Amino acid sequence: MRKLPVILLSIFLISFIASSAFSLREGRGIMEVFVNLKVYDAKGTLIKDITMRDPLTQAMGGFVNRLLFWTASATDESGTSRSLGTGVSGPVYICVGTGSPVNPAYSDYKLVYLLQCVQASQSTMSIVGNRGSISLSASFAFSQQYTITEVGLRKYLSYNYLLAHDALPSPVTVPAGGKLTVTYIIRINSGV
Amino acid sequence: MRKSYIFLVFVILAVISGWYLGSLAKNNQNTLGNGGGISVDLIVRHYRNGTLISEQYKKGDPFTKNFMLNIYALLNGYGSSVSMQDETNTARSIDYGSLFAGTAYVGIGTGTNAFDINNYNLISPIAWVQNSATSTSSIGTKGNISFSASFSLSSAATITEVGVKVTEGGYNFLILRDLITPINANAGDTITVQYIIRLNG
Repeated sequence: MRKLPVILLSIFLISFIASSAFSLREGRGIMEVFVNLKVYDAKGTLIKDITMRDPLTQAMGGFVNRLLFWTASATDESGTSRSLGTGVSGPVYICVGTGSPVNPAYSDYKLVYLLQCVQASQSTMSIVGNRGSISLSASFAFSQQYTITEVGLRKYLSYNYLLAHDALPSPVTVPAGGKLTVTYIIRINSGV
Repeated sequence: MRKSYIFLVFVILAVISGWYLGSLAKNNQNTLGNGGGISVDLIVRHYRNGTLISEQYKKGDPFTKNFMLNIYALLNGYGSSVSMQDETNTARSIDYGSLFAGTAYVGIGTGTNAFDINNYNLISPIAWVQNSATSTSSIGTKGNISFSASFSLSSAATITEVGVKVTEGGYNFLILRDLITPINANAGDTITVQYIIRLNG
């Protein structure tokens, strides 16, 4: 009976780990889009670190559609519907904004109130087993304090197309002289 | 005897609480924000003499490395080409300007090998059919893209795998492959394969 707490703790931990692993297996072939934001103060100290899942927009749907059929269109950042042609050669930007309220929708084509876009770093890609990961990031340096409420991913292909857009779970304040790093991580087959 | 019951109750509580908290921990990581990603639903129907005799529905058809390379190219503002394995397992350097060319085929086959992200073709393809025009819909934060293909079998076959390939730069590249519950089809039977690409779904 004296060993009971140890036995129960072991059972609890095994259940905990098994449950997490079971959740990972759901969705098998799903491609998940995560965005991570890190806020640094003027001294370079990390003061906030959040990761969330970022919804894709109609433009991303347009590109996936174009992969599968030749008649596909997407709405650019000016709100104009454009037919998408073959090819995806063009820079990618990560954008942050201060819009309020931000109610993300699949039909979004621009940030509510765009503050700044920075060209993303060269994407990196890795594969382990049947799972893959693509990541790209951008850093924003602000001379004055801003409160960021939204984030987005933009592709330039003759026109600007917003591929992903989300509201932050809670506003993120970047102090004057501070830095914000935004990283997009796309996980492929995360459940396989 | 009473001690055994108490022990059993504690064990059950430990299992339930561990499982519950484990799932909460996982969900918390994934549900901040408004969700985002792409998943694939697959519906395969088997008809004989025009009558539907079986239907199967699968969620989460896995993506191949070639699909991943297409997304990588879309999200990489610096590169100019990607190297993909075509359906003959030959490495082809495809210029970014030739990607997302808009031609796709749905295939059925009799292979049984498990999915591998490096799959470059169905294991034993028996037919490829160009997909139907895609149809799109959206509601709230979710969008759907669906397409299908129909196969009329000229000889009996046990269908075990399905997939999608796209034509880019003059070559064919497999982007989706999955095993299905085997379908014992006769000559003259029809197999329809429907894909639903779900964005944020």
